[in-house]
Amino acid sequence: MDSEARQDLIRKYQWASKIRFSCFTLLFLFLMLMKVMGGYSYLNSALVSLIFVEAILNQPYDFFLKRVNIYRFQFYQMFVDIASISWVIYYMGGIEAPIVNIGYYVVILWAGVVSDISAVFFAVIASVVMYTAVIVLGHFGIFPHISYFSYTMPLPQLFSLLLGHVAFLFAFGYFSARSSQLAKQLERRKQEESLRHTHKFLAAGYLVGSIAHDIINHLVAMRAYVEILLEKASSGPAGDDQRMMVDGLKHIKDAERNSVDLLAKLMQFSQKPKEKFIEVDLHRVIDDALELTLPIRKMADVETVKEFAPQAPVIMGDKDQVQEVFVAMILNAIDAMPKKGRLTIRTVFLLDNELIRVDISDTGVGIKREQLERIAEPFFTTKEPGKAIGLGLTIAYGIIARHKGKIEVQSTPGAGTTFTLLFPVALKKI
Amino acid sequence: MTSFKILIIEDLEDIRQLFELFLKKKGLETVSAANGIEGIEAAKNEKPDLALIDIRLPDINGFEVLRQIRDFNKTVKIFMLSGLYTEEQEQEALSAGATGFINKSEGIGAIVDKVALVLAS
Repeated sequence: MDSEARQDLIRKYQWASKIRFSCFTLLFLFLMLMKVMGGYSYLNSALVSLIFVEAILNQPYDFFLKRVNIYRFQFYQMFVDIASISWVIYYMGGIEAPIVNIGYYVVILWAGVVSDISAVFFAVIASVVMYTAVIVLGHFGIFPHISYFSYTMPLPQLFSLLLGHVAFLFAFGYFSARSSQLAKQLERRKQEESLRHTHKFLAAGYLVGSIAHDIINHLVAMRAYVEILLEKASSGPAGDDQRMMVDGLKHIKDAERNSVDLLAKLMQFSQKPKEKFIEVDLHRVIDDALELTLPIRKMADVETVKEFAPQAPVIMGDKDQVQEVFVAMILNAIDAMPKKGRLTIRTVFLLDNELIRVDISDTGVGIKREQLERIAEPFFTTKEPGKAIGLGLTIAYGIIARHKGKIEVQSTPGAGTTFTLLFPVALKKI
Repeated sequence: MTSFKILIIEDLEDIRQLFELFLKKKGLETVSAANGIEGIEAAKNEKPDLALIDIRLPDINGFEVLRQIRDFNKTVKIFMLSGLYTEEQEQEALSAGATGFINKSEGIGAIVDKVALVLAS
């Protein structure tokens, strides 16, 4: 398990710890109420076990979580959770216990969401075995029989209820496992799409580099031939024809020189740019990008809304390149709103993931579903022919990838588009 | 300037022939190779005074050709040629023992003038 996946799992388990604490507190209050109102003395043990679980197991949880094999630990954790739930069920009257066996479903669901099919299978089997043990052993007096109604349930009723619970646990386990599989497939597909985008970008860079290199070679040869012809034409007999020929050749030479310069610029695109990574305040960069695009925004009659997070840490990045991305995004948003519109730039600091999220939303024409997948492709554009060459987003994807960030896009045709940029924060805070 | 021999290692025939033409016009003797292996052989057999090596060759990288030539000939002047100048490429060329780095987009005429100047000095 890589460190990012481990950190993600630790975060999920820290959440589980909070949920567990809330559930135990609610159950504790419920049992206290039952004890005070109903005077059930058996509940003392249930209360003691809850305090035990919370104090002994849940509180030092964070400490252990960061120091153990997290995958193996989750099985111990599920075992302890299911044992605690069974323990409480036993002290609340076994088969008579109200609601508490929902706890089993919570553990099974959690196993599906956070872990894998084997964790779900383990949670189901542990729940079935412990629940059956508590009910059967309590009923036959192997454990002291606890009942709040001075009533012993007839055996057929007990077994049919038990069977019903067990069958439902298995069915729930099955759906939890299927959902877990589906969620993981979706996650994998998202990662594949992101990789495909990066791959396309790299392939485009290579392709552009190779083609531009070859064209430059041909142009260089062309210039040399022109120079030879120019020399011959210049030394030939003077006259209008000779002058025209020399002028024409000079024009070809200039055009060739311009083409080479243009291609050299295009080749820069395929080179790994020299990056200067420093601490960058994203809010300042966005402000600079807005300042740069102010005349265009005014001309397009675009209302701009800025919603900045009150405190956002700096990121490590190349200020000029990040600014280039924001300028490209803002210009795209303006182009998407031919008849007025609103541009919203929102920043959110995601403390748990140590990311800064920047949403750039417009109320423009939106992007069609079939075009969304292609927006990172070089030379692909949704704009009118001649208005864009389709390299802006390709370059933006490359820059963000080099900043170890991510670009996500959501669009509703006719309603607008939101580009979400995720930047990992630098360690030092502003 | 007839006493100088120039080795051109360049895969594109047009460019190779044009270099030969321009160099010969300056009175320089030329030897050509269309790939790296032929170029190394020519450098061994012909003992040129100066070599022009394209970085992108079909068989082996131009930098590798430069290193191999330097293994047996420390005195020959070697210029690396590329379609695009980058500081990294220039650094790599110089650290591998090149005399200089020339951007092909300067034009064959200008490159040959530069070569003649180097040889004259």
